[in-house]
Order: sequence, then C-alpha cells, then structure tokens
Amino acid sequence: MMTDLSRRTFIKRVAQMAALAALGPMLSEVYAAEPLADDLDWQKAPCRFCGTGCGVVVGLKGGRVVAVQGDINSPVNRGLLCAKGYHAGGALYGRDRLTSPQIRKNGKLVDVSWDEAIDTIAKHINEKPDTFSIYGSGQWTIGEGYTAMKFIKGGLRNNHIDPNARLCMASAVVGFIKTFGVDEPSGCYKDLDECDTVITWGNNWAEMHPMLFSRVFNRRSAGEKITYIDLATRRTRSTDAADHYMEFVPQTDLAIANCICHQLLERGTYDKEFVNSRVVFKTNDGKPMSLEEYKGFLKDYNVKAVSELSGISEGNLRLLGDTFSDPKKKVLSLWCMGMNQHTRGTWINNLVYNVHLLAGKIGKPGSTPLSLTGQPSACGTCREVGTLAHALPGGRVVKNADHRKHVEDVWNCEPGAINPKPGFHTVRMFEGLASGEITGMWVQVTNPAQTMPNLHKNLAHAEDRFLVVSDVYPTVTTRLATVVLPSALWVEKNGVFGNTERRTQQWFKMVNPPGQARDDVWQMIAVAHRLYELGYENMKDRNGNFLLSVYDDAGKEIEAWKWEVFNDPAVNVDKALFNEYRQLTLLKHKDIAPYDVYVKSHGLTWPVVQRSDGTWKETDRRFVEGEDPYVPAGEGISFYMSKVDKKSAIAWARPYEAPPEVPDAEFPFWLCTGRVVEHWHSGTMTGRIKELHQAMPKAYVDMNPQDAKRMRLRDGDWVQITSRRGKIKLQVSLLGRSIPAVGSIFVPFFDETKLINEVTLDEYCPMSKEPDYKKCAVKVEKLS
Amino acid sequence: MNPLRLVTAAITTAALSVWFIGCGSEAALVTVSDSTDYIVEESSTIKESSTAEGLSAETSLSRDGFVFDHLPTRESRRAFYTAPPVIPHEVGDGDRECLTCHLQEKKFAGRLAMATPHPELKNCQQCHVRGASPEFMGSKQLSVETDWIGLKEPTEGHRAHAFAPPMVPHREFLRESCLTCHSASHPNENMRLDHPERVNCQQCHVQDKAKTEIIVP
Ligand code: SF4
Repeated sequence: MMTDLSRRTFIKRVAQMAALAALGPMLSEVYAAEPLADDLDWQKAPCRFCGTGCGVVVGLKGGRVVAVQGDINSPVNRGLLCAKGYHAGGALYGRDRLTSPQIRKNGKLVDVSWDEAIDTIAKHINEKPDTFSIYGSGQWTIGEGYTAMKFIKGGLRNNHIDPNARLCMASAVVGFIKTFGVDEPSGCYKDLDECDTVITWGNNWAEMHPMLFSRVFNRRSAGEKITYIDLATRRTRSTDAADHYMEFVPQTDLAIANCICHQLLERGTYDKEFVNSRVVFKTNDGKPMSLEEYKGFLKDYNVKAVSELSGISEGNLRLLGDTFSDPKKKVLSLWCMGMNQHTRGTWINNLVYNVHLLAGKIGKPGSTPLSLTGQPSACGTCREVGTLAHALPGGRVVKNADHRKHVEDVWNCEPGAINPKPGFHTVRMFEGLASGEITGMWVQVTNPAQTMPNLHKNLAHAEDRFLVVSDVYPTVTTRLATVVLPSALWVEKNGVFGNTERRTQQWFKMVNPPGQARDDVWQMIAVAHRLYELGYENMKDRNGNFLLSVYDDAGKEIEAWKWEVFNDPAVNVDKALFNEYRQLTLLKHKDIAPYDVYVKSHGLTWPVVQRSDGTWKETDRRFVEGEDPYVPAGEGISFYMSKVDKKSAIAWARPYEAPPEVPDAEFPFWLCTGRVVEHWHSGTMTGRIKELHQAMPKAYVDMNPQDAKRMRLRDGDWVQITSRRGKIKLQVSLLGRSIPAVGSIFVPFFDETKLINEVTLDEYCPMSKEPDYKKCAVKVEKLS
Repeated sequence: MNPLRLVTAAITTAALSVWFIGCGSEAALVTVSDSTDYIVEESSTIKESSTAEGLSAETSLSRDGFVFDHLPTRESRRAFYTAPPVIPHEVGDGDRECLTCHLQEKKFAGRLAMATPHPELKNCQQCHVRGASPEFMGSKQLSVETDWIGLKEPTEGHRAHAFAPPMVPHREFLRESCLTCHSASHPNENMRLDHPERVNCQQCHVQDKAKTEIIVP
C-alpha cells in the first residue's frame, strides 16, 4: 500500500517538473526551490458515519489522515459534506484509542497479547458454543458481516447473530417484504432532483441526512418551486424549510396514512389503471380482499375522525389528500427512525406504501416512497449480507431448505450444517444475556450498553457473562467486558459499505491502525481458526479444511488467521470475501459486480449487471422498465419479486393501534429520543473530535416553552426525567435545537454520561422486533 | 447640509467603504458625487474597527513578506485547512438566520461578518458548527484529548517570480466567488484585494493544481 502511495506521489511530481521544465530552466529552478509541502495523496472512501453514504476524499500525508473533503465526483453528495464527514479523520486520533487486547483479571482489565486473547475466546466458545452469540452492526463492512455470518451460521450453528440495525431498519425491511416481496427501496437519490413535493414522515433530515436535505433545497435556492410538508411531533431544523408543518399525536401516523387512502378512494382520484393492474388488497391477517372491502375498512379513517385523533386540522388532512390526488404532482415520501422505531413499524411502512400505490406515485422520477437508512452499511451488510437471526446472504432465510443448501454449497460446509431455526433477535438476545440463556456474546462496532432500550433490564448481568467487545475507544460497553479487542477504524482497513440507495462503495486501507489494533475480520478468522485447531468439528468444511478459509484470485488459500499474512499489503482478504459473497446476490436480483469494478467507481447501485460489451451497468430505479434489467419488456412498472403474481404489490388493511404506553396523570409527558447533526450514535467517535464535541458537548432536554412556563422552568434549569424504568438528570433547553409539541420532550442519546436509554421502553413491533425509542411516558420534575 | 441628507450620505459611505478600503490610490477611480469627505472619514473608522478587539491578532502588517501571521487564530477555527470554519461567536441553538448577517458583508460592534461564498447552501449549521461558545449550559469541559494534526494553511500562493500574480493555493469548490473572502475589508491584509475592479480573477491567478487538485487514483 505504502509503496503504491509513494509511487503515485513520485509520478505526480515528475509530471509537474516536466511541465515546468518546458517553461524554461530558470522557472523550474524557482519552482523546485520551494518544497511541495502541501502535496497530499488523496484516496476515495465512503464517509464513516451515516446511511446517506457520501463520497469523501481522504488527504494523506506522512502515513496520517490530515484532511477530508467531499468527493466532487460522488453521485451522492457531489462534493458537499456535513460537519461529521469533514471531521471524520479526527475520529482516528483520540488519545485514548484502544491499542492492546485486554482481559479482565481480578476485576480489572489488563493488557494481554493477541495470542492470549484469541485463545481465551476460542476456549470459552469451545465449551459453550450453543449459547454464544454475536451482536453486530450496520457499521460492519460487508466483509465483516459476511465473516460473522459464516462464523455463527456455518460454524456455531445456533443462528444467534443479530445487528444493531434491528434497532434501526428492521421495520423497513419487513415492510418491504410484506408489500413488495423483497427488501430495499425502488427509488434512489436522483428522485431528490426531480420531485416537486417532499413529505417527511417523522424525519429531521436537515440534521440526520443533511446532504439529501441540501440536494433538494439547493434546487429551491436556484429558483425551483419545491413544496415541503413536514409531518412531525416536534419542530426541528427541517421545519424551518417547510411550507406546511403538521404536528400529530404520536402513533397516529397510522391513521393519517389511512386517511389519505380514504380520500383517494372517496374522491375517486386514485390511479385506477395502476391499481387494477399492479395492486392487490389483503386484510390485516393476510386474507385477500376486494377494493370495495378495502374501501369499507377505510371508512373509519375519514377526515373528521382522523383530525380528532391525530390533532392535524381537517384542512391539512385534505391538503395531504389533494397532494396525492393531483396526478401531475411528483411526490417524494421520506422517513427513517420515526416510522421504523415504532411498535407498529411494519404497519406504518406498509401504509405509506399503500398511499403511494393508490396514487400511482411509485417508480416515477421524483414521485416515489424512499425509505432512508440510518447507518452506513445497514443496507449493504445487515440487509444484503443478512446478518440477522433469521436470514442468510442475498435475501435468503434459514427456514427455507433450498436457501440453506445454496449457502452450504458456497461455504462448502457439510450438507445440513445450517440450522433451520432462527436465532435470537436483538432484544431477545439481551434478555437471554440477562437471564443466562446466552452465556457469551461478542459485540462488534456498536455500543449496546448505551444504545439498547431499557438498559437496566437489558444489560442486567452483562458483566457476569463472557462478554467480548471489539471497539476503537473505551465505551460504556467495554466497561462491562471480559475481553476487549482493539479494532482498526474506517480507512485503517479495507472495506465496502452499502448505503440507502442500494449503492455499494469500496475503499482501501490508507493508514495503519495504532498500536496493536487489528481488523475485526481478522479477529473473527483468528478465533475461528483457533477453534479449528482445538478440534471444534463445526469449524471444518466438507473436506475437513478450515471453514473460514479465503482464497486469492488464483484460488490459492490465504492463511488469513496469521496477522502477518492478513496485514501484508499484497493480500486483500476483503476482496476475497466480497467476491465469494457476490455469488449469493443473484437469487433475488440484488446482483453486485466483482470487487475490481467498485475499485474504479464511485459506488454502483444494484442490481449491477454486465452488458454484452463487458461493462457493468447500475440500476437507478428498481422495478422500472428500461432502468431495472429484470423488468420484462412491456411491463412498465413490475414488482417482479411479488409473492402474489410476480408483478403486483400488496396493499395491507392495517388499522390504527394505540401505543403500549401513553402519558397519564403520573407520567404526563411523551419522551422522544434521537440524534443531533454533530454526533454519530453514542458519540464514541464524534465525541473525540474537538470541533464536534465543543459544538455539542452534552445531552439536554428540549421542552416546549408553554410546558416550561407552566412548570416555572427556565433555560438551563436542571430537571429529573423519570419513567417506569429509570430516571436521569438533564438541563432544560428552550427554543433550542428542536421545539417538541406541548406535552412532549426530546432527549438526544449521544452522551455517555447521561444515558437516556435507562428511561426508554423496550416494547417492539411484533413483526420486525424493532423497539420504539420515540415514545414512552415520563414525568419531568424540577431539581433545585 | 440637512440632517437627513447627512444620514443618507453616511449610509452610502458605509456601503461604499467596503469597496474603497482596499482600493488604495485607485479609490479615485470611483466617483461618488459630493460625499467624498465622509468616505475618507468613514473608511478610517472601518480600518480601526477591523483591528478592534478580537480581530487584531489576525491582522498582519508585514505585507511585503507575504507572511500570513493571522494563522494561529484562523487555524484555531478549523480542524484543518479547507475544513469548514466553526462559528466564532455566540450563536443560540435556535439561531438559524445566519444569512441575515452573512449574505453580504456587514460590520458592527467592532466586528466584521464576512459574506458566505456559497449563499445557495442555506442549511449553514450542517457544516459550520458552534465553536466559540465558552460554555454550554454551564459546562466548561469543551476540549478533547486528541493527536489530530490537520493539514496546515499554505504559507502563500506560489509565484513564478517576484512580480508574478500568486497562484490560487486552494480548491475553488465552494469558494467560487473570490471576492467574498478576498474582500477589501478583510481584517487580514494578505487576504485583501487591492484591485477588485478586475472582476475576472482567474485570468491572472491560476489554480495551483499541483497542490490543490484532488486526483483520486
Ligand atoms: S455523516 Fe452522513 S451526511 Fe454527513 S458527510 Fe457523512 S454520510 Fe454525508
């Protein structure tokens, strides 16, 4: 790698000097006298942080990252970045980086050798393989997720693997599968350039997906007319740009979506041709229903009734009806955690699809629903590789015998090796950890002791179990760990991420990780190989060889468990893993291209198929004839993965259902939690970046000024927030980052000194198993 | 002169002084009817205000040496050269009206609000985060322990010879509008431009591609 860098620098300088020499000897002498102090090497990568997946270029000098700029050639962000992206390089250099493996001895974490750490983990697993689990992340690279999958599902065979994406995208996934028969959006970011109306469903994209927000509102700056409707439970930076702010009572989004459908059918303004040819209706429990029956179901969702339930005026509900009734309007719906972290997350995803299906506003440029992802590779790794308790790579599931066989063949494991019984999903896995059903857990690239809901319950006894934590900094989770493994971060390793719009983006290792820190992929392969050496049978493939073997381009085995081999710049384990995984992406038409194609691109949106001339073509809009190669000619828009008839989507008659916990006399406030623009998740990386930390050093509670006045609270006053599960002390912020609706508060979760998740509820959507971090009941008391 | 006229003249001069201060001897090229007296007076006030408290450290007088000795302050405002500067003044979390002051250059209270070179990007605080606030709700722990060393500011734009126009030492992306930063009233003399009437900057000042162009292999 390094030799490569210096070679490029050299070529650049030679070219420069040649150009100058042409101008005459004197001039080149003058130029040569000045050292090229600012001469950097630049390499491309996707941003480390959010699911937008901006392209960055990383400036390197002396083996260090010294600058980060937006990649002008990236089709995602076209050169712009948010504050986190610009400062991503700083995340590598916090002074307390973990640089040595550690094992808890007599209650204290002490430095040990890698050998001792790997040996300790392998021996523990060898004793209790059935109750050992991996808890991973939507920030895992594709190679990391794929390795973890093979480790658990091919090796330990208990299927106990789930990622933090369960807490973030699971409702979107089940929503897609229920409506379209297959996961992930049909739309893409180009729709942001074409829409004339944007509706956000509980989504503060000005802070959470700022580059997508800019992409739309730069068009407004340029004079285009964009109507923005902000459906929300608090006023945010996004609201500043809104033409219509519609504040609704939490959970009534279910009724609002049904109300729009009701209006489309009542007025007869739905897209009749599209609905007749591409939509079938089903009752909530899955029985076929006619359009007339569906219309009957919607009767309860008339404007008057829904206005009373939701708090949105009848006029505004009609405005929503008008918007979707107008066949000329190009309406883009966007959402993220507001709809996904919801005890009826799957339903609300289905319902928003109903609105777009009835209006015929799907798969058209600028007129489509687009589910946004939170994490940089929630799509690429968790959803496509399938690092979920029930899933297998490429949209397969463990319950399906054919699917298991495909994967067993690619992994070359014994026929029948993969267990048909799904493992524990996230909340269940932590309940198991608390109860002892799970005896050991390996946590990678996430910080559950800060981010799980209802921490007192879900992290109880975590320190009594065999907890392995791979991370880059000390976190609240490493404090509970038995073994801590120091990991390589972002451009300290090779990687591939997949973002919201199905864009797969590759990067190379650019700098060395500090001290003893090593790649998460290597850590897993090394432990698996030690298990193999210990004689653990299931780490053998059909031929008795090591199950997690990787092979180079020539088909020769790479001894990847040896660090000196893995770390050799001439060896690229990530490439070998990616090219192996690729074979499994074709079944559900999520085709990805060979690794080398991504090396030369700024990411490609799948399906990526090879044309007759050998080049690879990406797909902007899925299910659309002319764009998606899998849509048969003459079909226009076809949901070809439909379980009904290979072309129709299902509109589900999902009712409104009250949330499990609502404010009452004792706990009178709604609590909503979330992120802020400066910080990424639990703040372990962004909290170590000076510029981001000083801008947002600690958590606070946003309150509505009316509530504050009633309770005689002023800006900066300390309050105690208490739920049935826990309590926390915070300072009040009035007219700050957001203004919650009267009777509700908002608290960000990035601050490890103020764990709002001790207060949150861990009730989850029964279909997606995704918890609701956006609503529970609390009381607020002034502290003197 | 009646009082009203005086006020009008003062306003005119305030607007024009931005133009004048950097023009030096070329100021005479601009005709501003009978308000010349006030311009002279006004421009000297601006000079003073631009070196007022908080900005004086940035001002370099050693123009001949082309030394950018304002660097310590400028560097403290961003993580590395070309990173978005943090907001160097108090700003409430609810204050989202940055462009009220930063759309066009404004001076007040001894400070200069520079114009943004990219006014079409309106969600300012997605890149420029709060930086100067000495405390946040009573919290003073604003520093972090880091070994980050960002790209340093260039010492100067390269010149082929002593009389050649300096090359542009930075990327032009997001900085296409040269005069917003190379404003005649910039507190740092080396950033100032003494010939703003020649609007086509890049005809003489070419980009130093060798140093600034990002070539991704
Ligand atoms: S955090 Fe998200 S929006 Fe910001 S630069 Fe990174 S990918 Fe882009």
